[in-house]
Amino acid sequence: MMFLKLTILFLLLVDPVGNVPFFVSVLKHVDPKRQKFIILRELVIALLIMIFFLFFGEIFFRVINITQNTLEITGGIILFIIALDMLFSKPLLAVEKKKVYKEPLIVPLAIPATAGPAILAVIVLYGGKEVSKGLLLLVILLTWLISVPILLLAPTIKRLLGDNGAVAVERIFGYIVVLLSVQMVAHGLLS
Amino acid sequence: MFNDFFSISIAFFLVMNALGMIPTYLSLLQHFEKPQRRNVCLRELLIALGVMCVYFFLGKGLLHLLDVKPTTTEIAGGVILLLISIKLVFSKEDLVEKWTPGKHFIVPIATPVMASPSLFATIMIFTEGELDNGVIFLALLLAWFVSAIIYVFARPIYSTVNDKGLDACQRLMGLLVGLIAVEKMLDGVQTLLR
Repeated sequence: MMFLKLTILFLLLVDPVGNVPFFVSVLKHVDPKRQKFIILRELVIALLIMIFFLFFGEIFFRVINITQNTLEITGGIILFIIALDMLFSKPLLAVEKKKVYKEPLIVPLAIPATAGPAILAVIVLYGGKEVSKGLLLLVILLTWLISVPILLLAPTIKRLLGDNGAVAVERIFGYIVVLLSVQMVAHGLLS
Repeated sequence: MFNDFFSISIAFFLVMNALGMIPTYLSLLQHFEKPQRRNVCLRELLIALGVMCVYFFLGKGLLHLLDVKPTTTEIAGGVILLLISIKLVFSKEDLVEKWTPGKHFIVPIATPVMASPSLFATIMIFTEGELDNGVIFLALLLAWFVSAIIYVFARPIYSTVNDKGLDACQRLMGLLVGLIAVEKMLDGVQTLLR
């Protein structure tokens, strides 16, 4: 149950569908053949970053003595703020940035689009505390495997949904993240 | 029971925000030729109903998967409704201009204009209550039916009330959603404390 729940949470935070318009716009000036290669490369980098945070992120937190309840309450509040961002972000704001990326490396596709601050925070918060690192690694891998085909097919998906369709999907994700965040805070406060 | 049915139905109707969506809807409909419009309207309405049914079952399954406790769903539901209400009251986003012109199918008219992400969230949080799911589904049908009538008569409504009036309607409806939200949150806190 925990595995499934975490996978859904991670998928919501990596948000592959919501990222589609962003990926397409960043890669606009790149040769279509090379696009697939870049997407794959960036996603592999994102995966490595997530795994790095899984194993070494804890060091940052070890100094402070964090209990389970604090973890849940803080995690919930962080998630809530992230959800607000997903719900109220102006559509297409990210896409309309005038900046032209020649060939994006690491920024902005690997970080922060795929491995954003939200997912990294959650990985560190959960890693080795509530669930074992092995399970979390599986969750990360599964999330990644689901995200890869979605983002590789980004141009096709964009044509099907349109930018605003993708934003609508992101809104739905946002509401679910709200639900999870409130649940986390309430649970942390009660126990 | 009967009261619950109507209060949920009203909540669904408010969140569907048919009145507030009229300007967007009409501008999207402009890309179709006049004789086509009625058919397009009915077709998209039926598709929207289908999408709502998908939301209904998807929402229920998702809650189950996420293992959300009934006690916290009420509070979380209240928070979600409050956010929806804030969106309705303060919404500045002009959906109208953001769509590329053309004859679209399903996206954007059926969803997200008619069956919006907010509706998905609302359906999801209401399916978790102690009420029978059949009742909730009927409430959804009723709300859809009323909204459908509004969409069918969108043009005459628009010419009598115009943009400003519809905007005011949307804000007022948003406030009502806010009331429902706070009520739900209080209920949730009460059950949580007990």
